[in-house]
Amino acid sequence: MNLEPTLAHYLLVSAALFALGLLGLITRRNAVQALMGVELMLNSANLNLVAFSRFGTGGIDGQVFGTFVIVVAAAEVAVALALVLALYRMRRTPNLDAATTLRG
Amino acid sequence: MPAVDLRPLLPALIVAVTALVVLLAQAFTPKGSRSPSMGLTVTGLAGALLLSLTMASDGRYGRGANTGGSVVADDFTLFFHVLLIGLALMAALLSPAYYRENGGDRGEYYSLMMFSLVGMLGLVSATEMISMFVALEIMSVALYALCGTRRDQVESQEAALKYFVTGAFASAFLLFGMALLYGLSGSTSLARVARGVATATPEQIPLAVLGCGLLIVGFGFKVASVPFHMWTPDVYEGAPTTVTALMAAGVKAASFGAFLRVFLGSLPTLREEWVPALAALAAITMVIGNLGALAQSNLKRMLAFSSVAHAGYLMTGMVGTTEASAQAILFYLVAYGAVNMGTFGLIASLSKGGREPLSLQDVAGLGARRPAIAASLTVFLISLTGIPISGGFVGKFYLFGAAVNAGYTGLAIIGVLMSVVSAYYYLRVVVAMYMREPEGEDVWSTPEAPGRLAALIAVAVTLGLGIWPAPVLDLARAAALSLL
Repeated sequence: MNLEPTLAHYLLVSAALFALGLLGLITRRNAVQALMGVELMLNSANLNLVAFSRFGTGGIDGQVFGTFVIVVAAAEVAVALALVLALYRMRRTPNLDAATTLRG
Repeated sequence: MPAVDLRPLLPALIVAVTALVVLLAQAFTPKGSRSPSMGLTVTGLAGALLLSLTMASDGRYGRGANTGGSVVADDFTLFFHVLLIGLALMAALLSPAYYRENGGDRGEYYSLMMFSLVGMLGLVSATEMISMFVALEIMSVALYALCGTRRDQVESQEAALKYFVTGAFASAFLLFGMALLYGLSGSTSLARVARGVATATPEQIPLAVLGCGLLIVGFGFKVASVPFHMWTPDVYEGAPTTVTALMAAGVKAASFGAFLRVFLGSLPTLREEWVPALAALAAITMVIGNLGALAQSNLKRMLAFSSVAHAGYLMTGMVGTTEASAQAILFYLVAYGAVNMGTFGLIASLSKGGREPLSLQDVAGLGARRPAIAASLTVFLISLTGIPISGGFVGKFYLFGAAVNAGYTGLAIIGVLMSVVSAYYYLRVVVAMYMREPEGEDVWSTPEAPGRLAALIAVAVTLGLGIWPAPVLDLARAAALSLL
């Protein structure tokens, strides 16, 4: 039995991660948990990029892309946490559904 | 390999360096003395604008230069660079008065605005997916922070967080789509992706279509098309008005630039798959955007739904997939950018003591009290409706024409009908300004010279495009040709 993972396995795991991240982002009330969902989605794309780079004809481009994504995601989280904190100071809750001043 | 020429990057570099200088200048300004931020910002942006204009008008200054394959300085890029820097310049002119009235005129604001502009400039010039993604994120992350610059105001903070959550969502979809296209073609370069998609085997086609679909979701969020528009009203309302202006005008233009470059420029072979999807999205976007706007009493929310509706009109033009449709979209983005900058700009420059004229009562009788402002607002609203002698009319004419030529007559009819619907909520404001008696005291501030200049430019562009559209149409055509 061959237990060597193939491209298809990576793609399946990455699709599952993407779906989980999406689910987390949509269902979680806590802003920090929603952020984790975003991270999961970005990293599932990273997994795809690296898998394609390893198994496909893509050379090293995919890994370079993945590195850039990691850096960008870090910057994004820094700003996002600042925004969560700023809202927390006013509302005393990290819950997204408490943000209801704007509606119409 | 021919020598790499980095001159096309100069405008973006100037903007980035100015942003850093503004940050430092803010830090070294003694407390109590006047901040030099706005002056520095305007100088830097004007320099970048002049340079872009020189590059656009003279082939020797690096037009079409080899920049190593990540970015390109073709007519399409230069068209957008001039437009985007111009819009940011207007937003910078409008900002000081607004922030003085609403608290916190800080250097970071101008820096963030310019960082966001750098992202926009990169987004429209990227010909490679890594650069495109990074540019998109530079634009977006700076904007998340910009939405929250009014630290004391809960609406502003809420808008920032909501924009972040939906924006990150969109980026993830876009990235996943890019990853799939990379897997298919083995390269991140858009030209190689185009070749990979064109020569895809039947087993690879689903992968390409899925990647394409994810990209539509990602771009759909950024341009605010239905069903990815839920963030728009909240964010437009909550964000500081000058930031809303930059979002409505600049971000929409830059996102459409990348949207066009990816879909018209690189994925024309999948036309059969994505054009019907885009046509369906355009139709529901026009309907829901316009019907949503009807129900709004807050001007900023109304303009947000109008921005959704306009994403629909622009996507209607895109189903043509020819250079005529790209030309129509580019022209309309100029007209729409000027109008939005003008409308939001006037709202911002009337604001006083933390309040802005946002309801019909607030603008009632403006025609008698502030004839010049009321007249300018009327010009903008007429252009948004699409009534002749305004840029909006010419733009819509070409957009719907492109859809009809592509065989989507039904879509054009929906567009025209929805424009008629939109007349109700746009002209309601005009009626309130001229036909209703003013209520109470005139509490609004008088726009200052920079704000008046920005509004004047917006009026001139709007009327100019309506009366004599040929020069911009020619430029848009050249830009469209360099894309396809």
